[in-house]
Amino acid sequence: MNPYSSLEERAFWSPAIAKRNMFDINDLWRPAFKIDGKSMIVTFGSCFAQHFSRALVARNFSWFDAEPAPMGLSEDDAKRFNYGIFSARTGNIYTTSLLLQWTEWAVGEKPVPDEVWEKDGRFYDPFRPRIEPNGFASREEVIESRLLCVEAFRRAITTADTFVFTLGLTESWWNEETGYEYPICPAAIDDSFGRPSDVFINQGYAQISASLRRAIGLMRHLRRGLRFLLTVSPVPLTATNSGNHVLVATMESKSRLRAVAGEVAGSVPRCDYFPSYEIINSPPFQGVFFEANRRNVNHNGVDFVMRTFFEGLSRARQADPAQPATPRPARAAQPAKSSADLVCEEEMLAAFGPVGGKS
Amino acid sequence: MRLAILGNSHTACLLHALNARPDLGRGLDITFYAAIGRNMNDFAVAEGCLVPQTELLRTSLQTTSGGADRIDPARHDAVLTIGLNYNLPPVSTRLSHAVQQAVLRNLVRSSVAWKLAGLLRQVSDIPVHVAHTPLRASDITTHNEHVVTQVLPYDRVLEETQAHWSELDVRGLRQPDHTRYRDVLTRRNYSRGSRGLRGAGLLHDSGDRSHMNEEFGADLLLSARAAMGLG
Repeated sequence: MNPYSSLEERAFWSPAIAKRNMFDINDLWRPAFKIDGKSMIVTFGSCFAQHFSRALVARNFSWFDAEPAPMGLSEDDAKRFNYGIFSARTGNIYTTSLLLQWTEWAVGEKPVPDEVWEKDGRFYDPFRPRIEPNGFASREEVIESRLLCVEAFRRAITTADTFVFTLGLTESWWNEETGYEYPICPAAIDDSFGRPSDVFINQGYAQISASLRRAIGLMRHLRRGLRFLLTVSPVPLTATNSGNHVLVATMESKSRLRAVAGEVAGSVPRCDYFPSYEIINSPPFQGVFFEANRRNVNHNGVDFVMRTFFEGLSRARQADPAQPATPRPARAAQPAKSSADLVCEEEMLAAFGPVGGKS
Repeated sequence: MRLAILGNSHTACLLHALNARPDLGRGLDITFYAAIGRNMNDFAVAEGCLVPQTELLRTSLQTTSGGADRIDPARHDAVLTIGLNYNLPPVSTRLSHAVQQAVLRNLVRSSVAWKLAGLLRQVSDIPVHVAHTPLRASDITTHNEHVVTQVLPYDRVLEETQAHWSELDVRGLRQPDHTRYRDVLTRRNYSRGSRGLRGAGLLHDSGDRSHMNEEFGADLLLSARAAMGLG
């Protein structure tokens, strides 16, 4: 018997893609586990992860903010101080090794470092360099704020049912002496932050996979049964230090991340993959989901990604009548924001490019 | 002294205190201008007065003032505001100084009290005293000890917020020390039996921790009298 003869339409390119308008392409994701209004969800990762938190909040899903803005802070200030962007004030966690680093601090596997950067009397957190727009007032303040964040990250793990993580980069910067990883090249933030011990590592498949698996394992020590939903950021690199053309470097990095995400999702129990990357980047969508700079994802792309996500959940619910209803939007729909509106340290690299402007 | 008292639901503790103890009003000719929630936000300046921009606010003013449909500063020697969304929740000292400052700035400048003080300053230079919303009444146990640990001291909060009020030449009033509990909260006995604005005042829910009773109102009035030099 021909094994293809009993497959659904979605398994064939022609009916699933070629004969459809691109906006009618659907059924791209079938959730591996239930996510409903009762599921406590936390979101971390690269810039693109911010869309998930916004969409979940807008749809009245239970997005857990472990480090909420203090009472009395205005909305504008909350955003300026990076509250409510991710489930704790970690800033962007671009790599799986950074995720592992935060996790090791949160579970007590490794001590939280006391490294602080100083410039012109202001103090900066090397692991969250833009978390306070003008830096901190003192070294002690940086350390205290970092500890607060680590506590919140731990609380996010212990409270969550589903941990959404968006893999963003393979290129990474480490302090060779201490072994710590920074979210961005220190010298790219400020020349004075650069040290001879800073090393560049473009992580390979094995390292990315091992870090992700180790992070998942450590988190599950704290929170048994924690489920993971992995996505890959579709946003190209702002700049590469790999020596390759940035387009080639982007495709290589994203391919590695995509391969790791798929392999981990396919082999680790209670772990799933959601195809944001494919929706934005695959040829049938003809690049229409990018802004004019062909890097930032426009609001149509964000809408399409999130619609696919919620339709997937809805379809799963219909297939399983025992599942409770998916929460309905409870507030006026906010227009989706393009990735240009996101908080993204990586974009700082663009300022150092030959044209000296934003990408 | 002709005193205008502007406020929201928190005005009730003053009103009921004055009804219970007329001596608190000695030397004062008091007019209340009150509306619940943020309704007092809906004023605009016209002809030297604060004129309500909604019918709801106009009606509320007429009811609470005994007929006035606007606030005319020329008819008063001083203004005391209470509540009006000027809240002072505990602020954690674990937050960065910049975040603490942003919180305190916003607590003052997003309040209805700030807006009214600004409007008053457009048309008058009479003394304005601002009483924040009473600190929340609470009993601290081992379960909620974190609420009062590692928070900015009350004095520090007053000092920081006063820096904003001073821009409008407004003076912040201190909640009487003996009414406070664990520095940044109100003693629970002051919220028991609190009543609303209407008539004799409907009792608030017994679990209400934000509105205070007439005993608190009396203590606050005494404090305000002292601040205004009335003794």
